Parts: sequence; structure tokens; C-alpha cells
Amino acid sequence: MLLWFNSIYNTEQAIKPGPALRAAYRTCQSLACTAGKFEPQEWGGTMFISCFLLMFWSSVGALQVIASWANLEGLSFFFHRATGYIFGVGSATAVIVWFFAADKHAQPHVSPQLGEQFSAYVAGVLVALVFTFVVSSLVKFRKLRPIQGSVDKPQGVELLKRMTWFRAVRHSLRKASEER
Amino acid sequence: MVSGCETQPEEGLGGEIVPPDWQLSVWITSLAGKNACLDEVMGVLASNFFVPALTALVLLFLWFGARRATKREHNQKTIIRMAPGVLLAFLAVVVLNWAQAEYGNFWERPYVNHPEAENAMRLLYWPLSDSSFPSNAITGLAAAAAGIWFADRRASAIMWTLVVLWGLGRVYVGIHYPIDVAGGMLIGSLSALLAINLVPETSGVPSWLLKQAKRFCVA
Repeated sequence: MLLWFNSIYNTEQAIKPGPALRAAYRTCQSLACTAGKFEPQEWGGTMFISCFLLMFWSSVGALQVIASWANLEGLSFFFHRATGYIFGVGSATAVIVWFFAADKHAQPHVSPQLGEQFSAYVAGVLVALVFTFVVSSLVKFRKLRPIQGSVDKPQGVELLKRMTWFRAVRHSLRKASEER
Repeated sequence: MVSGCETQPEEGLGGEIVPPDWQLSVWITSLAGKNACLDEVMGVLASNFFVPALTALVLLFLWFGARRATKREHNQKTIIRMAPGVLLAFLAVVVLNWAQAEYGNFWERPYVNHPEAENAMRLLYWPLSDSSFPSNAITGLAAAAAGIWFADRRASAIMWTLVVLWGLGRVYVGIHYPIDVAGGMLIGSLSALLAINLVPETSGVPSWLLKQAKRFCVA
């Protein structure tokens, strides 16, 4: 999947230049900057998407590690904690390596618009949360059944130790309306 | 341009301030361009992408990742209390930059005064137009790291490590003096301490926010 994304968002770099060519390119670019001939590479849609993907996949990975660590079965995609750790660390590492190995990100003179970068990062984390909630709820739909009887103590994320996110939210909202 | 090996005047060519640690800065930036592997690592560390991404993951782990409910709630409340500290830190940077522009000499970036830093910047980063002191990025991250100290010391230690690495990277690529990084750490820490003390854990705002978030099982 990472290779697929890479192929879409690196169409202009179908052939990767060697280190010497990259160094020559950077020197020419910096000289051109000095001469005022052109601005540094501007922030564009591709960078926004790349930053979004960086945060999205690394957050998905982090959430799987968290689910395994804190025993939040309703958040995990997997039925074994070890698998969650492996997937989490693997996906976060892979996307970080992809982001910086795809040369356009590691290139100097890429001038980020910080507001847009912040937005891309926040969007990536939020969408990763939603993605994790949805996928884990679908995967664990049959395994994690609603708790029978009253459950007074666990609230919020604690409910994810024994039920899926959709069921936990339903339980939580029902309890809140009963308390009113 | 004055070579970094010669005696450096107290003021740069344009009357701007040259910090007292310029020699350390020159020594570090002179390493750029000599080892491609080191340059790659430092370029990644100095960039605006890597450390913020790791910071976000650390905060995500702190928010969701405690095994006990009481610890998780304590972490979440601390993150909420820490957030105004980060905003305060950035506000302090804005005020300082304004004061420099209004009353004193502008604190130029190292690459303006030192050829070694200029070479490093051209190789690994891009020119910046605002004042070198304090480091905006380090100020914000240091505020977060200092605030998190009250939640989880291990997570705070990780974040402080990121602060140091990011600062080192930014000195290496010639856009900051070490004193800019140290100043950012100090301002960030003070802002976080102020915010944490202004918003106690038992105050209503963090509790109310958490109560709403718990309804949707995101806290």
C-alpha cells in the first residue's frame, strides 16, 4: 500500500537520481535562490497529502501499540497482542522511512507553510482515530459482546477493554441520558 | 563575510548582534558537508516534520496508553493543562521578536555572519527571515516537554531528548546558535510551569472537557 501511495505522489520522480546528481541539483537550486531567480519549492497539495499520510499511518500504528499495551481489545485490529505490537511498530516505522526516503521531503529548500502542516498533522491523527474505531469495531463485532447487567465504574476508554467503540459510545450515551 | 576562524567582532557587518557562542556554532556547522550520512541524519532531525510527528505520537500514547484509569485521567488532565503553556510560549516568542525589531538590534541567523553556517544552510535547509533568538520550534516543544513532566516523567524524558536532538539539528544546519536553543528551552519551560500552576488539576475546565470526551470514549 505504501508503494502504491508512493507511485501516485512521486510521479515526477519516477527515476531516482543518485547522490551526486541530488547534490548537484541542490547546489543549483541554492544558487538560483541566491540569485533570486525563483522561490524555494512551495508548499503544495502533494506535501499536504504526504504529511497527512505520515501522521495517519504512524498514528494508526501507535494506536495498535497502545491497544496492545493497555489491553484495549475494542481498539485493536488483532486478536493477539503480539500482532498488534508488530503491526504498530512496523507501520509507523515504514511510513516514517517512506516519508523521508522519498527525496522530495528530505530535500532542502522545501519551505513548509506551518499552518497547513499543522492542519495536515491534526487531520491525520483525527482520521486515524476514526479509522481505528471503525475498523476495530467491525473486526471485533462478534468477539466483544455488550456487557450484561449494570456497569457503573468503567467510563470512556476503559469500556474499550471489553467492548467495541460503537458499542461503548452507545452504552456511554445511554448511561448519560439515564442519569439526567 | 568574516571567516569564523578569525576574531569575530561583537557586532556583525550590519550592526546586528552576534551571540557569544558563535564559535561553538561555527564548529558544529563546519561539520556539514563532510559526511553524507551525518548530513542526512541531521537534515531529518532539523526538519519541521520528524520531531513534531514523534511528539504527536508521544502525546497520543500519553492520552490513551495508560493501563490504569486513574493514571490515564491524570495524563489527560495534564495534557489539557499543558496546552495553554504552549500557547503562552509562542506568545512570548512573538513579543520577544517584536521587542527586538522595535527596540534593539535584530538577532541574525548564523548563516548571515558565518560562511560555515551559510554552507550548511544551503546544503541542508532554507533561509529564514525571522529572528534567530529564541528558537520558535524549540520553545514550543520545550513547553510541551516541561508540561508533560507533571504527567509522566518517562514521556517527558523522551520529549526532552527530542528537544535536544531537534536543537542540535537546527544548530548543525546553520539556522540557530546554541544560545537560541537554550533560550527556547528556558522560555518554554517557564511558560509551561506558569500554565500548570494557573490551571490546577482539580479545576473545572479539564474535568468538564474530559467528561464530554468520555461520552464518546476518546478519553
